Amino acid sequence: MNRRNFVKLLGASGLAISAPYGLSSKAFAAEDVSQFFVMVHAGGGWDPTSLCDPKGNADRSDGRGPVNNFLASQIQTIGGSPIRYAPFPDPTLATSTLRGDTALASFDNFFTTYASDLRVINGVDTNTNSHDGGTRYVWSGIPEDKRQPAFGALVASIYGPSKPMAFLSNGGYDTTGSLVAPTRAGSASSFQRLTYPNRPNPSDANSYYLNNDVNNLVGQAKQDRKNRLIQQASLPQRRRSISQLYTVSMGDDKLENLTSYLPGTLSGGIRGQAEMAAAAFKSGLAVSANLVSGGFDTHGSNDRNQVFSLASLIDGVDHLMQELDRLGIRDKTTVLISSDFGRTPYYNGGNGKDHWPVTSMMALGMGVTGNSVVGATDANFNALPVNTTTLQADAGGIKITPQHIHAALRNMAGISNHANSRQFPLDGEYLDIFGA
Amino acid sequence: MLYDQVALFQIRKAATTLLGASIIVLLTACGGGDYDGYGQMGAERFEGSQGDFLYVNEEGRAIYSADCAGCHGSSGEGSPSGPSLIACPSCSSQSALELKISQTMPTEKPGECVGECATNTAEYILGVFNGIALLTSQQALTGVDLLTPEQTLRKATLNLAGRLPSPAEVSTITAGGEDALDGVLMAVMSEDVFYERLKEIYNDVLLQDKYLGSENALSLIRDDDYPERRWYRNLGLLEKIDQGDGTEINGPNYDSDLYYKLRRYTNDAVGREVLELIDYVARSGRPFSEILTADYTMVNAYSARAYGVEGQASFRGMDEIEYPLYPEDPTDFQPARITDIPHAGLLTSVMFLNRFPTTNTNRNRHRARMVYDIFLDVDILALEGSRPGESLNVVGTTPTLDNPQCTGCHVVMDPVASIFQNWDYLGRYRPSSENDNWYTDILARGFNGVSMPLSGNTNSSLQWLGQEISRDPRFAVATVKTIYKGISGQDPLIRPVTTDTSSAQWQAYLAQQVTFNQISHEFRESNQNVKVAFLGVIKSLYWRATALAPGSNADIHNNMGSARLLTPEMLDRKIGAVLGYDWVYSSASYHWLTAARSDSYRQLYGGIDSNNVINRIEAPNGLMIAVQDRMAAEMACKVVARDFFKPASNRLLFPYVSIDTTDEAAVRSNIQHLFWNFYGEDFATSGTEINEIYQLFTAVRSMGLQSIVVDDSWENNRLSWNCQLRNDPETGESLDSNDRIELDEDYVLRSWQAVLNVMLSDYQFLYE
Repeated sequence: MNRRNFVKLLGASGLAISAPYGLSSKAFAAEDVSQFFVMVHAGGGWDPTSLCDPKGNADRSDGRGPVNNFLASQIQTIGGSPIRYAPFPDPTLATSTLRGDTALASFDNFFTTYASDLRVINGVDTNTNSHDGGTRYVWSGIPEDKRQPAFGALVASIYGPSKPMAFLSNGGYDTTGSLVAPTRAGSASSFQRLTYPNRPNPSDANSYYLNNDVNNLVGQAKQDRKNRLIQQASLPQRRRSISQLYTVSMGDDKLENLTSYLPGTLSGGIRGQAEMAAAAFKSGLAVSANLVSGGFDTHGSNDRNQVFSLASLIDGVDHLMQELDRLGIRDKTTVLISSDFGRTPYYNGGNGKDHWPVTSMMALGMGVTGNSVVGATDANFNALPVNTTTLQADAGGIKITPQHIHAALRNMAGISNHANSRQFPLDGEYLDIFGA
Repeated sequence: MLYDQVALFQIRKAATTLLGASIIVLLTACGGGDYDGYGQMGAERFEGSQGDFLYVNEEGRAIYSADCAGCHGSSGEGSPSGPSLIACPSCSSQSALELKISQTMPTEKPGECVGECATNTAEYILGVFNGIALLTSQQALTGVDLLTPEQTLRKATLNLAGRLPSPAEVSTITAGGEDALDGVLMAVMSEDVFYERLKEIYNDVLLQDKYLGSENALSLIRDDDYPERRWYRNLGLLEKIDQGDGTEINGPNYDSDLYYKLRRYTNDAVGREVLELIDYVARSGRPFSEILTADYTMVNAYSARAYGVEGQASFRGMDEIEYPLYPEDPTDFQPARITDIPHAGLLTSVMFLNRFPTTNTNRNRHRARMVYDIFLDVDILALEGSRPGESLNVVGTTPTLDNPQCTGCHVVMDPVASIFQNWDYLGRYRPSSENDNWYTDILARGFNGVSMPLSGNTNSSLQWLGQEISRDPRFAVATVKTIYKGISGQDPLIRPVTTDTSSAQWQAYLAQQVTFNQISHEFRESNQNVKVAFLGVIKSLYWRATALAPGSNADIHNNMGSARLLTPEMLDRKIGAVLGYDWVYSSASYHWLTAARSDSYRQLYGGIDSNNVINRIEAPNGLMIAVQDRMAAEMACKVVARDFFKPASNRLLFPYVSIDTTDEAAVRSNIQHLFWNFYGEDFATSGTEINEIYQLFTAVRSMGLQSIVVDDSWENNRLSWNCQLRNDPETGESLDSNDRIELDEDYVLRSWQAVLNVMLSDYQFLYE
């Protein structure tokens, strides 16, 4: 029985209705997917005032000192753009404190290169200062823990549920709501062995454990056995797990495709994550990816640690965009960058900053109107209400929350009314966050 | 088989004791006749009674709503302020619950609800919360097929001890049935692998393995406190002597191999002291809460030197002593007391305190949250959902004390956070006399609404907390849930969002709560023997259900039956147990599924590194399927010739056939053997599955023989080079040509190789 017939069998047995994984008999290709999504998570709670919502060093009226240590006059602007960003590196820091890593993209490079694609969303109110709660809310749009899917998982479950690496996760919030399985990439060196499971020596096309004819019989026997198992399963949990095992099978040549799109040497850190995501998109194996960069929980020495972590983060995003460019899929990829929450608009005794419920998000790529800033905060980095049409500060308006962002995100992806989305409804008024 | 009689007896006993007489009458009416109407003993499937009658004491409802629901929840489900009342410890009888209420409730004014008030309230709690729950639990039992005792033994032995049951164990169960399970499984849980498994389960929540390797653990303990923490550095093992001419020679004691061994023995012992404490408490049969109350820590001979306590214990020697000066086995851990440290089990371990760090603004709240989460089954973050949709007002006041948006969490969390005040952000012990700057704008030390008595506890408040938790019934529930998650791979159900308690979601949730509470009760009754909790989970239908009768309520049974994708560690052990050989890198230097290396499959197959990757992947993805395919191809190749090399009586895989057997009956018998060993399936030799595999065997052989007719080459008459056996699998020595297994002129070996390839990548092998 071939895959198509098996799909019919699942339908006949009622499994397709209850299975958490959708089914598709199509070959995998990047062209299957109209839009890819990358969620870049700054783990630990970034400080937007050190990046895209800078305030400067005017002392607060409550005696808690300044929001930032840099001068307001040092805040950077781009001609003809409302985008403002913090100076880099912070002039109060010696360059050497950036651990000598001069290869990182500077804020200037990043913002000038991507301003035309970039929308900054400031004043996002997460209503929490808990890492877990904030991360969950920012990336799912729902504050409570309902085991709801991250947006990446949700969109992957709709765009490519049977893709073998539909949702590629490097951490952050990757709960899937049982809609799709997350994939961890591992190291590229593992891939060749997995690409050719019947070759003792993966690089020798003439080596084999079982010759091709026998190997085909083995493949057929595996398929037949799965068919029998699925018919016999009666407990819901057992049916789910059997269907998972079938629907995500890699196929014969898919990893070969992926490895062909990877750079010769896979980079480390977030750069490597970006390379893997772009190659997985291009090879048609994935729809969405979580990239993660850490070091943002700066309760001590906020400025030095934030600047280094932010530089590493935007360097990763820059590298991602270059990889998407190289593979010709940048124009169909949407990138979102955010964090658990923000950091206090004042320094603690250790020159650190603690947790603060207001944050920002940066969006660029397909479906995003660039060169723009929406949402707002006041001088003390409190979220301000915004006009529901212009999304600019308006005392009679409402505050932007992750729920608004995700409603717009679902709308941009065209999945708002899909059954998988309706399982996890979002509250609140609709705001055209991305201006698409 | 049906849900076993022992379990039924337990449920009956629970129902008989938990419920008031009125409920029993109702159940009897529902079941028909007497209480045995619960099930048809001896039937192949348990068919329980159905019922939706319920006695509600309205006076009790009013009292409960007014005075109790605030802490215990409107459905008795509990909250951080009050434990669940579903199958609660005092719910064993009407009189017990009345007494408890009379003496202790409400907490702020004990003695205000006595007499009729206590009677009505107890009747309401027992009737509504426990009545619904038991009826639901009973309904959940209906129409579920369970593993037989033999299958349960096999599944448990693989899960807990990483091996197949011995013939003697199987015989014991076959003869003794359900009643024999406890004894055999208790013996299984005395094996070393069980304790490894226990540590694996607890590492998934405590994440201590982050500190293995290099000096990751030692760097967390401080020179000021432990000047000998890197004692091996003082031995000159890496010393080089400058010759004055730009060259160096090794010093007199130079031995880098020894240096790195001693460093690993020391560092990893410190890094694992928390998990070794859990091992020790379980192994010695102590009350499990001693993991929070122990007045000692665990050291091996090498970490004892680092802590300066080497004289306190003697240690087992290694089987083969490589270095006479260092004969002690690094895997042998013994209790030791570090001078001036008021030990409180793992709570006072520098490793625990660093894994859940704090700052001067966090004020130990992270540590408090983790204590609640791991040891008290209270997720403080779950309270976040009630926050209003405005930014928190965190400026200008002390919101954790006076802002209602914050106090809901902080009144629970902060007294425990304050208890950690004797331990600083580096995990160092700092008595209050040296620690005069604890905050005044945070709630004082306490737990469960009770202030900690300062007398005798000022500098040892974690000891007080450990004792308090050890007496708290939520510790038992938390333990059971950790074990359930660990061995089943399933998350316990979370409280449904819907308020419709008649919904399938609620019924499934309540039924599971009853099961957990029942196991928790047995755990407490056993003086907190953690193995009793394991037994309870293993024997529950959540772990043993295999099939559902047509027409049964699938929603209620949504999470019945453990069908977990094996973790990398579990699959690694199963491969070794079933095949007799491990899946290792060709040089056997490390295991593909478990090695902490970038080119292993540990994380790719869903495992954790306890550092950045801390959540296991529980559903397979495409890459994981590729790992399974690779494993099946490699191991089928590896083991066929090796197993046939052994005498038939010693073979794990092919005891019923020889290297040239093609007789159908023998081949079928051997396939039957494989089905039992690989999957725990006991099929007749003429059964469908045996037929299918037999047909594969004959199809491969037929195709192979035809290919030899066409191509009678040297190569085509032999196993693939990698699958041949040219060296003794035990000694590695080259075999005489007559003893080698290379030729396969009858295509029998490759037919078996194909069979194993299919069976190893099968759902039944990869899930348990």
